Amino acid sequence: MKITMKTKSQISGYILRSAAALLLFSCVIVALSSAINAPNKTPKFPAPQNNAAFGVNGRGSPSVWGGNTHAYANENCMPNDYTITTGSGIIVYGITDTGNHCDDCVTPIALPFPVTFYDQTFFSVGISSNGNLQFTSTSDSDFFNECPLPSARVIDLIAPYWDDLHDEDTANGQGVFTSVSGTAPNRIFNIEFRENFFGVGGPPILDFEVCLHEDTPNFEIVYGALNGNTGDSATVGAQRDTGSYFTQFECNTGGLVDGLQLNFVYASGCASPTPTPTPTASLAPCENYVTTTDTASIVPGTTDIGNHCDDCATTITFPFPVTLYGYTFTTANASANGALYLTGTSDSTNGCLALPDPDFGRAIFPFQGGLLTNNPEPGCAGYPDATCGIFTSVTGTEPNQQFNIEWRAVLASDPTSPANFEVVFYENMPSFFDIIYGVIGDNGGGETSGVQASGVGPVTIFSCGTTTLTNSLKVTYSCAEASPTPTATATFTPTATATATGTATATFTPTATATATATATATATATATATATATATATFTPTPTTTATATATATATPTPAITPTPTPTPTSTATPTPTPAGKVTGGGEITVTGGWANFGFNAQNGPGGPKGQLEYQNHARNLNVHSVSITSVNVSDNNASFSGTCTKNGAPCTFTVNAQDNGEPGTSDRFTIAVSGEPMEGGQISNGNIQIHN
Amino acid sequence: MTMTMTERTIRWAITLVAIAASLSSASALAQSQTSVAGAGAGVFPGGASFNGVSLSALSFGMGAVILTNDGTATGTFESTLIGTSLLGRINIVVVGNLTRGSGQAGGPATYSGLCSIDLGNGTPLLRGLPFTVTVARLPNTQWGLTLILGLTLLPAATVNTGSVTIQ
Repeated sequence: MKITMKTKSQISGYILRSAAALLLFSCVIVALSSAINAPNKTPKFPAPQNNAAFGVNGRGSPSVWGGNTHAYANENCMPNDYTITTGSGIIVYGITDTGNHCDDCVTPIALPFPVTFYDQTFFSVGISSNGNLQFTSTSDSDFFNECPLPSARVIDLIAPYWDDLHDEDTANGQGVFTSVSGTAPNRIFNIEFRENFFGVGGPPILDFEVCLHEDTPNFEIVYGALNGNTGDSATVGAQRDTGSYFTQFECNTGGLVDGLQLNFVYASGCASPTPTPTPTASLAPCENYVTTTDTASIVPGTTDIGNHCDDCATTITFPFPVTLYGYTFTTANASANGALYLTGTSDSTNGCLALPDPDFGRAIFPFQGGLLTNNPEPGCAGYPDATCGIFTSVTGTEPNQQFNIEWRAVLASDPTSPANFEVVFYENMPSFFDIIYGVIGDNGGGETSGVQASGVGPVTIFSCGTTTLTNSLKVTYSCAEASPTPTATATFTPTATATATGTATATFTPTATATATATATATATATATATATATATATFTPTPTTTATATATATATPTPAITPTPTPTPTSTATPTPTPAGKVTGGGEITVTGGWANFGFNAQNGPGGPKGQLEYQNHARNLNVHSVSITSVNVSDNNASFSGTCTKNGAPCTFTVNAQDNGEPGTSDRFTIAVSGEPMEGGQISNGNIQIHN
Repeated sequence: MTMTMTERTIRWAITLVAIAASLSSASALAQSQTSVAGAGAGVFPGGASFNGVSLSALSFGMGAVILTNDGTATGTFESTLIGTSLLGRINIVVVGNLTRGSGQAGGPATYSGLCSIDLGNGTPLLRGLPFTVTVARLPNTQWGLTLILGLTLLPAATVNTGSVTIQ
C-alpha cells in the first residue's frame, strides 16, 4: 500500500519548509523573468508515429508548461538541451552502498570520472533519498516533487523518480547503490535507487537507476521493479541549474513501467557540447573498425518502417542484439539522411563530414548527407512500388539471422537521383556489419560513409565526399578486438600480407559463425608484428563463399583512415586489456510469482575476457533463459554481476544477473535476474548456494 | 532408509561414471577447465526412491567450474526431489558444494562433494553427506542426471524441462 501522508509533526515541518520553498521559488521565477529575455523554443512539430522522442523541453520561463508526454520530430532539436527517447533496459545491480539511508536527506558522493551534464562537468553529485540527483545543491527540501519542472528548490537535477520517498531501512535492502561498468574512456556509472514511499516499510518496492557516462553527456534512466507504481505522483526529467533548460518525461501522470529505459540525448543535431577529454592511455576492446570491400547486391527490404520525410529519424527494433564498439543495442534510429543512430540523433549534412562529429553520438553512416525519403519524388520511380522510404528484412534462421536495413532515398540536392544502400547486421557477430550500395546518383560525391563511437571518436571513415560508393560495392566493417599497435601498423609490409593470407586460408571455414569465433581468438593472441588488421579482416568475413585471397588483397592496401590511434607505449603483443579477476558460481532455487524458478551459472573473468554460462528456468510461466555469451563480469567483495546475450524460449534477449554471496551455507544468498522484456525476478534464494571465488 | 532400483539401472549409471572418468583424463590434455550450468526439471523412471520416498521428479539448478588438469571443482548443485511417502507428498532438498570433478565440453561431466539434505519430513538437516552427480546425454539424446546421495545411487532422471550446458 502506498502511503502519502506524513505524520502530524512532519506535516507541520513540511508546511513551513514548503512555504519557504515556494517563496524562494517565486522569487527566483520573478527574478528570472525580469532578468532573462530568452526566447522560447520554436513550436514542436508533430512527429511521425514511429519517432521515439518524447518529453517536454523548455528554456528559461517555458511556454510549454502543463504538457506531459509530448512527441516531436528529431530535427527540431533543443540546442544545449536533452531530448528523451524510450527503449527497454535492465538494471545494473548497484554494489557499493552510498550510505544514503534516510528520509529526506542528500548524500554527496564523488564521481568515478568527470561527468558532463548539459554543458558543465561535475566531479561529484548529491544523491537524494527522494529519488533524484543534484549536481550542485544538496537540498533536502525536495520532500515533495515539483510538477511540472523547472524547480527552484533543486539545482542541476536528474529526477528518475522524484517523489516523497525514503530508504533508511537497510535491513530490508533499502538504499542507493552504485557500480561502474565498462572500460575507460567509456565507463558508465550506475546509481541504483532501492526506495519505498514515505511511511511504507519493508523491502524496497521501487527500483530504478541513473546511468552516467564517461564519454558523453548523454545518460539513461532505467526502471526495474516498480511493483505497479507508474510515477503518477513523481516527476521524471532533468534540468540545468534552476531551470534555464529542462526536459521532462512526465510529472504526476504516470507512464513508467518495469523495464522502461529513458535515453536522455544531449543537443540533438544542434550546438556541440563541450567534449569530455578523452584519455589516450589505453584502447578498450573493439575501438577500431577496419574496412574491406567486395561486391554484393542489396537484399530488398520488405517492412516499411514508416520513414518518409525530409530530416526525420524512425526507431527500429533489432531482431537480435546488435553490438557496436563493444556496446549492445536492441533499437536504433534510422535517419532519412542516411545514418543509423545507436545513440543521439542529428541532422542532414552536405559534402565531406569530418568525423568524429560532436553533433552525432554512436552512429553508423552508410551514406550521411542530405537525403529525402518522402513521396513522391522523381527519383523514387525506380524503386519497388515507386516508393521511397526505409525498409527492413530478416533473412536466415537463428542463430545465423541477417538483419537488412535498406534506404530507398533520393538526393535532396537532386531529387531525380536515387540513393539506394543497405546496412546488414549478422546475428552473433558482434561489432561487425556490412554496407551494400545500389544505384547512387552521385556515387557518394556529396556524402560521408563510416562509423563513430561517439562525438569525440574513435572513428573509421570509408569515404568522405568522394565518388567511391558505386553500385554493388560492399564495404565490410569489422572491429579488431585488440587494436594493432603502432609497430604493427608501421610494419605492414608484403611479408606481413603474405602471413595474413596464409592465416586466412588456413582458418577459413564454410561456417560463418565458426569463422568469427576463430578470429576472436586469433586476434587476441596475435603478435604485434603480425598484420592484425589483415588477419582480423580475413577471418571475420561472414560470407562463406568469399575467398581468403580476395579478402587479403583488399586489406593489403590500408588507407590512413583505418589506422588506429597509436597507443603511447608499443608493446610486443596484442593482448586485450586485462579484466579484473573473479569468479562466481551458483545453483539453486528462487521464489517467483506463481511458483519457483531454478538457476545455475558460472561466470568469470579470464585472460580471454569474460566467460561463463547461465541457465534459468521459471517453472511458473515456463520461461527458459539460456545464455549465448557473457559480455561482462564484475566481482567485488561478496557481490557479483554479469551480463550477456541469451535466448528466452529460443528468442534473442539480453540479461543481467546480480548475485550476492552472504556466506555458507548459502541460505541468505541473493540472486536476481533481469531479462530484456521480462520483469526482474529473484531475491533471497530459497535453496542453493552462491559462491564468489576471489 | 530403503532403496529400490533395477540392476540394469545400476549398471548403466556405473558405466556412465566410468565413461566420464576415462574421458576426463583425455580432456585434461586439451583444455584446462570444463564448466557446467543447468536449470530445469526432470522425471525419474519408476522405482526410484530415497529414504522411503518414492521419487517421481526433480528440479535442479547447478553451476560449476571443473579444472580438468587437477580434478578440482567449484560450484553448487541444488535439487528438489519430489516424491510421495506415507506422509503424502515430500520434497527433499539437496544442496551440495563441489570439490572434485571431471568432464568435457558437450558432456558428460561428473562432479562430487559434500551436501546437505533436507528430507522434508521435519527431521533435522543432514549435513556433510558425500554426493556425486553425473550429467550425460541419455540414449534418447536428452540430458540425464544421475545422483549418488551418500551410498544411495538413484536411477538417471531425464531432463525434460530447462537446459544444460557443458563446455
